[in-house]
Amino acid sequence: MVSTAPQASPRAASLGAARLARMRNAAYRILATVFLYPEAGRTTGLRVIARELLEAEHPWAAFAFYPGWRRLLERLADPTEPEAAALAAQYARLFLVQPAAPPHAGYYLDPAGSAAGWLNARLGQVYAQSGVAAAGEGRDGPDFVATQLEFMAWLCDREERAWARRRRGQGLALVERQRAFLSRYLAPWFPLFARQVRQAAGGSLFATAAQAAEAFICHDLDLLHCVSQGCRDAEAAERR
Amino acid sequence: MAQAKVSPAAVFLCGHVAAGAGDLRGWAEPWLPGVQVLVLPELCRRPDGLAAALAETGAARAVLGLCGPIDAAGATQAELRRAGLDPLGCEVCVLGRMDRPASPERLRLLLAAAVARARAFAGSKPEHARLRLSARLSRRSLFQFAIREYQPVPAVRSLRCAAGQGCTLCAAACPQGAIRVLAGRAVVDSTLCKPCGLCVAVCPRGAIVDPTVTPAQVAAEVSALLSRELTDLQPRAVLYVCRHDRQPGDNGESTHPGWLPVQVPCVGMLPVGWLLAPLLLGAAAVGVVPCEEAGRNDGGVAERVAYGRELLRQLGGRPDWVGLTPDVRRGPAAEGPGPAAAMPGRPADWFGPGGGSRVVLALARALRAPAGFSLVHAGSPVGLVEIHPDACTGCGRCALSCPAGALGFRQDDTGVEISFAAAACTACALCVAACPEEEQGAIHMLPRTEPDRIAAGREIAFRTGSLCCVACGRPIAPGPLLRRIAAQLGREHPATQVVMRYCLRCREGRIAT
Repeated sequence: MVSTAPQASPRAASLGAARLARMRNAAYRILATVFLYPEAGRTTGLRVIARELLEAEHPWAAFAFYPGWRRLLERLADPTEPEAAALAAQYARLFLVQPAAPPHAGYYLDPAGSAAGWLNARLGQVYAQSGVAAAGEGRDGPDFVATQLEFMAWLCDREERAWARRRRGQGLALVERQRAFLSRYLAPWFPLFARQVRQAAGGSLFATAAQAAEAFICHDLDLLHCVSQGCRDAEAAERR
Repeated sequence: MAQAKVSPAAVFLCGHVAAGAGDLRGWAEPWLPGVQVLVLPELCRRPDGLAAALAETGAARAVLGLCGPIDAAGATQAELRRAGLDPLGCEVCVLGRMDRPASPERLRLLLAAAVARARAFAGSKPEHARLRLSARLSRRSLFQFAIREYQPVPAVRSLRCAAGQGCTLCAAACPQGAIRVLAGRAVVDSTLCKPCGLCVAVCPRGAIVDPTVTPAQVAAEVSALLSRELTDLQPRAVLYVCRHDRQPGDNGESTHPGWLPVQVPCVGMLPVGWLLAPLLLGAAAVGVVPCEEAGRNDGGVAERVAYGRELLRQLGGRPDWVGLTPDVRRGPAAEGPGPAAAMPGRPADWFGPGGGSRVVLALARALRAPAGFSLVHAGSPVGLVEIHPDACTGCGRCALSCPAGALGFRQDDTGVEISFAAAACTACALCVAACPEEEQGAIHMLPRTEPDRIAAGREIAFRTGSLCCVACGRPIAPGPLLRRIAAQLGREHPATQVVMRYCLRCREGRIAT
């Protein structure tokens, strides 16, 4: 379906920048948690959050990533889904022991392995410039998928605070930082990772999560570009 | 023969259309199986309730029949998503203004075509939807914004893409510079893309997909518009219009009901197959209405229309069966060639990659083209490649670079063979650009249409034997290739003449000694 009226007046849901950042923060946190080792407390927490999100009225449906996102929430909330122990076994097969879908950026961005160390060092610098550091080491280091998703969540949290305090310059700077991080360090490899997860375990919760995350990341890059471009246009108009 | 399963579809009419549309529900039941027709009174302005209504129907596809252009695209897309449908697969059909309702036959055709197109929708991926925010953000509205809609944009299917072989047809065709070839992959920058569809049409492999204008969808829509089972409306002609431009009749001018619009992202994308295939399906004529943007950069459609007219003229048909900017106030003046006799694999084959050659062949048969018919024209959808046997070295780079698979390369112990299938050639001339002996005139490509060659299938264009090692007798490489290398290097490195007579293994021994 495509609009045939270029000048049609918009009638879509209206969202504040702060609320949008909060929503994105929540989404990145949920996605990051799904890709962490499925301990009992973690899976229970995800189930509770998913049920709350499904029951609450929210404007997620306005976004193109919604179908995959909804499927993920439904699976997380489904009491018939495998418990933590079974998920852990699946997780180990997919991501840990001779992983079918290695959850690290270095595997996809540098298959030869020559620059994986450089990539981790660079990511460490990026995190440090924002005042954070990857909590895990080695396997759970800077290029681990959950670490990168969690970093995006953290940036969204900072952005939300900036908008809430009406600090426009800070908000825009955080938008640009997120855009740069996504386009350089997450978006280039995540589709490859998602494809491997689907190929290795097509019907699993992790495949659903990978598909939802892929759609979300693709959309987020687009959204950040729109906001950034719109701000530049607005500033140019104000200067005139 | 088992009938193909059709997806259940729901058609929602706004109240203005329903009031003047006659008994569309009664008509739809026998003629559109699996389609429910319902009315949502304010659908054209507010899509509230659409999700709930869709859920009740259990439809897998949706068509919105509105009185005018859609007003709340973003909100409508959100309702469709809530109902579990892909918004890009929903067809919006403007069925006519309230004060000037379209004829019932025309309404039925437009509706049937929209249903057919919706049913042919094959799904989309995240990279196919581009966000558009409403209006311009200001210092105040920066803290508040709205999603206007999601636009479909094309994306590349990497597994089909021939960029790794050196193909850059899509990048060359894009007027926005939105396509780059990086590390052997073509990538569409959706932030620069103004979806015009030129890349989609130019790709000989169908590797670039816009999920809202696939060959299957256009074929289904055109077939439905021209179906003689649905109504008796005659004559009927297909009018290709740009999706983003105003439609004929929007400014109040009257449009003859026989001109049936088919929207494409930009008419500049129209390949020859899409221009001529409707004639084979029974259209009296095909018209193309360029928008202002297409007027500045028409993607070569004027040339392709000119080709179509010249082809028809030389085949004994009428050139006015195809034309730019026809007078839509009057009905199509010409009677087309009539529906083609039953042929295998149509009509989807006519609209897909390589459809140009199939359509040309079908037209030539329908109009009884004389044997040996040949037309050289810049707008030809097919080309003929000729290889000069004295200049070609049999390296095979032409075949390697051919994205359409028209050139084939086979090598065995006896020699090499380069084959050519005219039916697959898209006249892109990448083979000529790739040939290292182009200056010697080793390969030529002419944009020539010869139905006999298209029908002939794959032919051997060049064959040569291999030179064998004088020591062990194993084949080394094609003879002309070795002779060419020796000729280029022989004067500076006389030893080359000797070394070239040995295979790699025997050569090592010779060099060592």
